[in-house]
Amino acid sequence: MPDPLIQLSGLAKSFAGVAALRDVDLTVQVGEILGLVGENGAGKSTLIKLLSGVESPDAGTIRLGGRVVALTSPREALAAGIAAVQQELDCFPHLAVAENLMLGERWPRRPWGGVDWPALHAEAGRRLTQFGVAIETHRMVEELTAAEKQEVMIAGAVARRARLLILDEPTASLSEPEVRRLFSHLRRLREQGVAILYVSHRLDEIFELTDRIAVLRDGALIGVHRTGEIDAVRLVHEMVGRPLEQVYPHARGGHLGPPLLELEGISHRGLFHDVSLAVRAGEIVGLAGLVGAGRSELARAIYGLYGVERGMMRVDGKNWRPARSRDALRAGVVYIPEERKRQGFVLDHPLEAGISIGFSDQLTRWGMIRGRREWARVREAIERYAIRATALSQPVATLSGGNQQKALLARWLEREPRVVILDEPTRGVDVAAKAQIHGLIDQLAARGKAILFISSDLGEIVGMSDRILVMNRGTVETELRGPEMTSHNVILAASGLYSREAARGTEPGPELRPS
Amino acid sequence: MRRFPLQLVMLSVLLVIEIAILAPLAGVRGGPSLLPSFAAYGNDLLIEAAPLLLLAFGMTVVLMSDGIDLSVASMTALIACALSKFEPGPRFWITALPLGLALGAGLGLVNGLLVAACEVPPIIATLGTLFLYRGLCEAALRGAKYNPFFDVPGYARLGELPGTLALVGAVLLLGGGWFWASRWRQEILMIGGNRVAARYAAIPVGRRLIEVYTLSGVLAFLAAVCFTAHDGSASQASYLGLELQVIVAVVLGGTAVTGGRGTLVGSVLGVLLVAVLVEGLQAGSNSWIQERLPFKFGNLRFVLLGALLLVGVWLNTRLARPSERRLR
Amino acid sequence: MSASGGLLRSFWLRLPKSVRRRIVFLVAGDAVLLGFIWWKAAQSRASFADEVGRMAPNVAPSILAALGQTGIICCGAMDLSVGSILGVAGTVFGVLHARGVGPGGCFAACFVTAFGLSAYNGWLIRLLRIPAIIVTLAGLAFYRGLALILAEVASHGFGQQFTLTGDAYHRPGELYAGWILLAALVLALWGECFAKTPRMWLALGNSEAACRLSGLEPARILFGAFLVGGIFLGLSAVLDVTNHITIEPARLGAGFELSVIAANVLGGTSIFGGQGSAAGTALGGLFLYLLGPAMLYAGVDEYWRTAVQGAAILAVIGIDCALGRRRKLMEELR
Repeated sequence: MPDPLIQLSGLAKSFAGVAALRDVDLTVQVGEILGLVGENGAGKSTLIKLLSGVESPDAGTIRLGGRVVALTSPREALAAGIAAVQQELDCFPHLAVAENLMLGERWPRRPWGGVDWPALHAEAGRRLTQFGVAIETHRMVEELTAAEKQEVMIAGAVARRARLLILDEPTASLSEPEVRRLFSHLRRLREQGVAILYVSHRLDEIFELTDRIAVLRDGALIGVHRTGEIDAVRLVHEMVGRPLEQVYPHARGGHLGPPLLELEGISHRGLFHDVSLAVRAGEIVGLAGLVGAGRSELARAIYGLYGVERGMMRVDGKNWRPARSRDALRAGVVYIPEERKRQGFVLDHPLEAGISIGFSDQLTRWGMIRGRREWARVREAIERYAIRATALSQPVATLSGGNQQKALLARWLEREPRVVILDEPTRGVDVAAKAQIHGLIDQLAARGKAILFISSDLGEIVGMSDRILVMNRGTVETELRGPEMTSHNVILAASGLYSREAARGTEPGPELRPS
Repeated sequence: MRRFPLQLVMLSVLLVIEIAILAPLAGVRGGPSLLPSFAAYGNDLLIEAAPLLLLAFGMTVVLMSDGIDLSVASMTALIACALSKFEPGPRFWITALPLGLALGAGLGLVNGLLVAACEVPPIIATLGTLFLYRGLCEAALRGAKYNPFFDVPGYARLGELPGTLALVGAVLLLGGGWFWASRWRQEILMIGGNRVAARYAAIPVGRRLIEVYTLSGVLAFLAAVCFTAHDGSASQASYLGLELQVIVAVVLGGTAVTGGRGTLVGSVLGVLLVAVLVEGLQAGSNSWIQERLPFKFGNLRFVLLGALLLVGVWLNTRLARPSERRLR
Repeated sequence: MSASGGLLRSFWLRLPKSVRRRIVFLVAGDAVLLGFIWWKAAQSRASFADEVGRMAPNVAPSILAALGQTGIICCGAMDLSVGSILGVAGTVFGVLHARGVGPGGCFAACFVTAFGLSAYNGWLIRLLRIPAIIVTLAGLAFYRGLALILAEVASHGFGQQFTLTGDAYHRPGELYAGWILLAALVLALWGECFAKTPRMWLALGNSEAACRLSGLEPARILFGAFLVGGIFLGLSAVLDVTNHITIEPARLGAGFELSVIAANVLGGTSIFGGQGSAAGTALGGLFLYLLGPAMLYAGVDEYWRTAVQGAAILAVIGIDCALGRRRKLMEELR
């Protein structure tokens, strides 16, 4: 067996006390496409960050061609031949393709010192054609489509003699023919000896493209298989297998009221189209889908942050078109955003401010907040939601992820809303807090609220939801009810594979069902 | 916000030291005449500081929203020039002043629209209005025949200490008190701290920004009243460079230029610090120090203010979290 | 000829579409204003040639300073103290003149002062790591005070102003202003066409993070922009001084920064950095300048002129920023 290109031994990394990667041993061979799969939170993005030099491992080594390397910065990783192609980041929109490709290097000069533009563009063109891409090097990057930008970045990486190319969800914004083109590029690179780490949730692509598949779960490497020797069913099992103690609360009675939130054929160009759903009082509807499927955008449109171009929305039976989020609050709709640090809090502000901003408008008289009432409500909220903080004035940044999330929930739930939209409510949250939040959500449903639950955590969405709607490429493609609600089916549906599997008549394997 | 008390204590100590050094220049004598001379000093100081206090209130709120208002001095000048076109007499109170108030609000509204509706960066929008309003002063004064202020019954009282203190006190204590307890302030702080999060929190960001800059304009009107009641006239060149004093005062008081934090008490202390400094420089240029210097002592004002601005911002940045630091 | 045709074409292609549109608009606008002034001048029997002749020394200082700022704004920063720097440089000139230093020495000192202060700004920004706008806002005040103090310290019995006597101090300005401006413009355009550094400024304005990943050092790039800006500012100071009979340290250059920023924004330079062109800036500066005589001929009351100019500048900046709104909002929410 030839020497592996990259060897990871005992790699481990923790963030804020939570282990993101545990003792990972992985090798990547020269000239192979290795697929990396796992649920969100399994450790895929941490692994990418370690390989691309954005973070340093807490333990373990990375060996490149036999030699141990310490990748302390993205530049060092690039120099070592590891190139990660991200979605939007590393490009200069207002500069030409050729300049984007070659900015960090010496440019060809004319004898009298000026830049030799034809030579620069020729060199850039050469790198692109070598890669098989025919993009005019004079074009501005901002005018390129997402697929073309990606091609340019990959070509750039290849031209810098990248030996390992890391692609993270590369097809999220690509159309079908563009995906085909990408695959033919990748196959050609493989023949040229470049190793590719292909990280994706789309199992159809993984099966089509890769030579081997590595499965991560909860930070550990579960197994590595040759692609031909495993099928979707077993793969999903490995991705999803859960310790038996994981049980989701189900205290609610199952008595459902009238629909509190109804959407009929709503669309917003480029984000989502023809979405229709209804959430009844006391119901938890899970909304699943891959990155780019349009779930958060849909939620934001319901909340009034994005406009809705077509279709109808109804809250509690009344027609409703929010012009701004305040309308949403007034109608009793709240949205807990995905990224609590960037979209939720001012991190330096004290905890009490972070919580009370959600409901202090209910406590004002002539514009002034009744201070003591505010304090009392905040204290009650902290107790009710079991938020661990040393003082009310503690800056939000110093709270743990779980407590921050609970504070965000407290902020909005104190308003006693009717419809609650949750976007990844337990992402980056420790196990204990996760359980508490799940309990909270269950109680909310028991009290008759309508809950739209967006999550990429399969066990969670299967365990908590009464029904699951799976979005794919901007619209709700599949609805799973009752015994159909398994992690297995969710993954397949999210990749658009569900109906095919059902048609094939394969039995989904033993799976944890909601009690 | 717990670090504020320490900073306020330090500011107060600095203020006392500063007064101890600069007051003698302004004629405060020790011994039996200490009290009367200090009282006279304090009188002049507070009258000079009064308009600054009003403007600093507005500037504090603007800075808290992660903005800045460079046009406050020009707004004050324009309003003062507009006021000077009215006939003297008791009718002044019901004709000129309401119009002045409307003008102030209107000028501030223009700033707010530029920032909120057009999304022009505040520093550029208010730099533009700084010059626009200054230019309008010329037009406003055209054909001005009156200098009515001292001929308006009761108006000059606003220029003396009791009247001034009453006006400023009312605004700062009542207005400031309302502000401190209000939900409005919470929303402004969130807008300045993390605008995206403010949108997700259903705060009407555009509306609030317009209100903030309009407030600044209204306070400019009140400051114009203070000034004209004391000086009795207004010209196109009035209050040049005043915006710098206000900004430095608020920054020294502890309000961050990056938004999300602010303190009215700190701004009051900052204004006093700056006022004492400016008064001291003014007084110094008439005293023995001047004779030893080859240049006008008063001209140190710009140099010191510029340096203080840098020092103040640098200190505030060092004391802030790394998340607030930006290169550009 | 085909080589220069190819050169022009590659330069044109390197500009983003919005900058190209803006240049076309400005060429048309300048032509309209010039035409209007020519027509009015013919009507009132004033000499159009005179107007044009007077144009060069009057417009050169602001266009030169604006050209210097283009690089800085493309980096995503801004220098608000250019007016005050001009004040200091002019004061130095006046002081040396009062002491009898020859014209060469005076001009040289003026240039060096302006260049040095611009470089100092860049160095200070790099050192303190405070946003450029705040540092230069402080500089706006600091340098103005410096000019006043310098004037008083260096010449005994200083009144309010220096009076410049001697043709040798003016004639160079009148004679050579146009040529210097042309040379500087050619230099700027040449740099834009053939040098890598302006592209790095644009890269910095586009994405600081991507710059770091490519191995570039943002602080150093910004400092370089201030250095180059300082050269243009020095030329601007020299030409500005020769326009004046009297130099008032308190007022020289006051308000300059706004017209410099306006010329840039008008010329298509984005306030947030990442796009811009010397060609657009020069055309924009010309447009702003031509508004003056155009307003005069159109009979706008002299009291209103400054206000109209200010309003026009704000309108341009406002519309320019408003056009980018919708996209920015969606980006922000993501």
